[in-house]
Amino acid sequence: INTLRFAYLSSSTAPQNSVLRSNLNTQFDALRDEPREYPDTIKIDGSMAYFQQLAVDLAGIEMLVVSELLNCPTIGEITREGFIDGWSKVGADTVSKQKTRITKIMKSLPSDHTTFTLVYKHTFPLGRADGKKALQLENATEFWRILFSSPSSPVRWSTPTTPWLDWWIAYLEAEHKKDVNKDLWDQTLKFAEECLKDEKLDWWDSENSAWPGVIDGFVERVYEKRPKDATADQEGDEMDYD
Amino acid sequence: MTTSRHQGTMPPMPNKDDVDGTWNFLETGVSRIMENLREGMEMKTYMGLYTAIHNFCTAQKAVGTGGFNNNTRGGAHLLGEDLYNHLIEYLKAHLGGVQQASKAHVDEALLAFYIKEWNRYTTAGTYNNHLFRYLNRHWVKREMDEGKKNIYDIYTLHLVRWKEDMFLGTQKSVMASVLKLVEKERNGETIERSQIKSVVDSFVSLGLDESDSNKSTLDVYKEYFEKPFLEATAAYYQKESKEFLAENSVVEYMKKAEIRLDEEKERVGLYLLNEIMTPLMRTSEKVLIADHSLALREEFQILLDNDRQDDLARMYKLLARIPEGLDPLRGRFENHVRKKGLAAVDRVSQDGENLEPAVYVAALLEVHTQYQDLVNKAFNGESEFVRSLDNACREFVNRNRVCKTGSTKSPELLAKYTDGLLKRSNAKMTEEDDMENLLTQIMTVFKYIEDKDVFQKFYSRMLAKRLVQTSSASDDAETSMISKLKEACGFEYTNKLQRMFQDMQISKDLNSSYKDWQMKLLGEEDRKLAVDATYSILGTGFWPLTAPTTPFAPPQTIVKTYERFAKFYSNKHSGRKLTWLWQLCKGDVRATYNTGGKKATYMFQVSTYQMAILLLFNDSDTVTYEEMEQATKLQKETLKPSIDIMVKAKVILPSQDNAKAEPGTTYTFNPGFKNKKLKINLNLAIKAEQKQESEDTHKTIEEDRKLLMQSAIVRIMKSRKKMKHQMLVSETIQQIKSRFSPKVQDIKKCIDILLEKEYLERLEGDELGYLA
Repeated sequence: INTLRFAYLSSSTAPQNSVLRSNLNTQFDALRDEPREYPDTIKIDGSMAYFQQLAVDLAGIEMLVVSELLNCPTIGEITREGFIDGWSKVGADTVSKQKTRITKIMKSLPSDHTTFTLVYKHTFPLGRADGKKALQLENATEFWRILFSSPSSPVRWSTPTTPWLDWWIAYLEAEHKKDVNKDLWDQTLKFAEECLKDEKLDWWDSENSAWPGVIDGFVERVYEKRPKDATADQEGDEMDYD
Repeated sequence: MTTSRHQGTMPPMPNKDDVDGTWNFLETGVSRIMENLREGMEMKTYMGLYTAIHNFCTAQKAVGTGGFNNNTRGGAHLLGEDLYNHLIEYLKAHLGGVQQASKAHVDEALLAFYIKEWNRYTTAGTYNNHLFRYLNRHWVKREMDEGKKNIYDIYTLHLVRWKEDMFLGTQKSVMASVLKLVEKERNGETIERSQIKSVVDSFVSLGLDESDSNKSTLDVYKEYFEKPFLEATAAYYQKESKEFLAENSVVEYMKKAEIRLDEEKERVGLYLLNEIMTPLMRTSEKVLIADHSLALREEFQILLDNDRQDDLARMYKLLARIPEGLDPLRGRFENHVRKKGLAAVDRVSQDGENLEPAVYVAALLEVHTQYQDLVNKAFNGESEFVRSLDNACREFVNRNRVCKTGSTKSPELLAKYTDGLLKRSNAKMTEEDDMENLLTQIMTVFKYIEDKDVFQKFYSRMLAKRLVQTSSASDDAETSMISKLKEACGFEYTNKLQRMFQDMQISKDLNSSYKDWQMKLLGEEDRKLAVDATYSILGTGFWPLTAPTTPFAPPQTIVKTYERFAKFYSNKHSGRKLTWLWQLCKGDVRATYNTGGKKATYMFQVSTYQMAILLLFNDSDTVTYEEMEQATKLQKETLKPSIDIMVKAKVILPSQDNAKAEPGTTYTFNPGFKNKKLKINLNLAIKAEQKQESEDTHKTIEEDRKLLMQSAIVRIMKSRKKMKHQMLVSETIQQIKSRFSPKVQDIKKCIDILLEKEYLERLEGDELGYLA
């Protein structure tokens, strides 16, 4: 992940590293809300204040992008290491530089699958409750809504014939009713991308599917729900679900 | 052909240089050989002819023969050609006459004429060949060595001429006569077979190999005999079979066809060339069988329905002779057997829940036995039909009316049936051999069971009971059954069953050393008072038994007894924990009645729970339900049925008739108890308990299956490290299908679980990786 992050940020002109890091350390120290108890962490109040300085929309995809950039372990918590590593790599040691940086990332995001994938994957650990291995379904659906429908997202999971995201969430809420594990989280992105490439699902192989069982079930449901003529030019055996 | 033209003396010896003179001289001799051989030829004449040929061929100069030899290839030796050509001219003329004469004959007379002329001509040919030996050896040989076409030794020359000048003109009529004769025979008349045989031989002799005149080919025979013969055969049977089928049943037709095929086969041996066997059979089979295969196959279902084994055997034999003839039957057979199986199950399933396992198994076996017999007798035990039978049986054993809620019902019933057989109560009527047969039959059904794990589960529970309650009929039968299962499913399948047997053996030894220990430790008085007890120590992992579901306070005597044993046991094996399975314990209680001065002693066989209840009556003749509950600590579900059995047997009496076993009811000891038997079994299985047990067993099966699938997946991935998703699924099915048929969906669920537990990870391109 680090090499990838380098790759897209290497163009920026960074001030000398040690100066940069010391500036960031100072900035970090100032942002801490409970410096005595948590000397190396900015907790929720501090983070929120900081995000407001940066003018980051707390309910939008921007928030997830910044959390990934600073490698936040959980929502609203910033570690010293993540803060300094994240900003020093892009050479942004002032709030205004940081704002500019974020604007730049957000501008290119709609066509930047690499960054989006990093943000998507980081959202899983970010959104997990303490000590849990999986993401609560409730939270997962919230994040999916942000990630798959934000105007800045390169993967807006909906097509003229099929409201994929809505159906997906409805299906999980009705049938799955369980936490979303890492595999399902990761595979959902892959699946969404495939759906956008070919919404007729000509590539779907129900016999030999290696997708998680939940996705198998979802595809069956999609076949049932979609009007017949939308998929009429597919092979007949898949139409048996109708 | 008789003529006297050449009889009498030979002309004088010609000049050796004179071609015409020499030929004229020779022609007389050749004619005589050709037409009058029977009158013989003097040695002198023969020698004269031979010498004339020799002289001519060795003459120094070649004279007056026109232009044929001006390509001077070697002087004297060129001269044979003139004689050779003259001989050809002679033979042509001669055979022209013979062919002309043949026109006067038809049918058998024509055959007789042809054969007679052929014999005469070929005999003369051998003589002439001898006579022209010198020509053969020199001129002919050299011409052939130089690769000249259409030059033959003199005998072959005769054959060539016969073919050209006689055969080609007459073969049509000759074959027509032959075929008429064969048709007569097929119609049942007697014919002179030797005529046909001679014609065949003649046709074969005419097959000359162009590249090597010493060899013969079957070309002439094949074209002029075999081909029309096969055509006539096809036409004959086409007509006959069509007419026959119009007026007779398919069954009759099959008999007819069988006879006809045998006849044709026999015909080859009688007067045809062996080479015709294969094509003749193919032709006959096509017309007699393949062309009517549709009608035959239509009949198949009717024959099956009516169980016509002989006719089915005939149909099998006929259709087996044509390519893919049997394939359509296999599907129908499979379908038929499946339907019969389903119908048999339908008939016995009227009883619903109360279906006797023995009745069910018998119904399955009956259908299998009937059609296995059919396959063996009518279908020659052919492996493809065996496979169809197996497929059908697998279907109706696993998916029938009784199994409509799930295929686990069949293995459950089979296991129960087996339990019934192996229990002591039934065994007395089963001789050892019969028992072995019955067990083999069980294995027949077992083979078709898909959920072998379910059978295992039920079987091991019931075996556990038989062992613990010592109700097993015979160790030999038990061992035999286990070894059969082992043979069918492997060591792992029966491992726990065998461990159970071992535990029983160990317990036996343990009990006897416990007795010794008691002898040493207890005084005589103590021993007299001690309860005579036997213990079974069952290893936790191997026995499908669980701790009792109800709390229980055993009576004091029992507590003392088992505490003593527990002490002995922990001395022997420190650190082992003993859990008492009270629900499986039983005992005998002696009750002495003294009515009207008459003493009567009965032995009650009771469960430990019942024992605890009964012993309360030692202290008081009347015991309330509440007191029982208080003393035994038993839950209502167990206490009630335990009481009910004793009430029913009138060992104890409720305060009011028909009073339920519930708080408020009081029980009195029945002093007037009477029974014809002195030993009374009160330890009867409780129906509700049995049902519960069966439900529990089914529940654990689902859990076990998940574990089995997961461990198979982990095992596979551990050895492969990386694998395509689809490959992993099919490999898992392979590994597990001997136990049950896993659904792909369920395997996927297990893969999902293992991904979540991080035993596996997802790699690129549908591949999964193993995480150690």
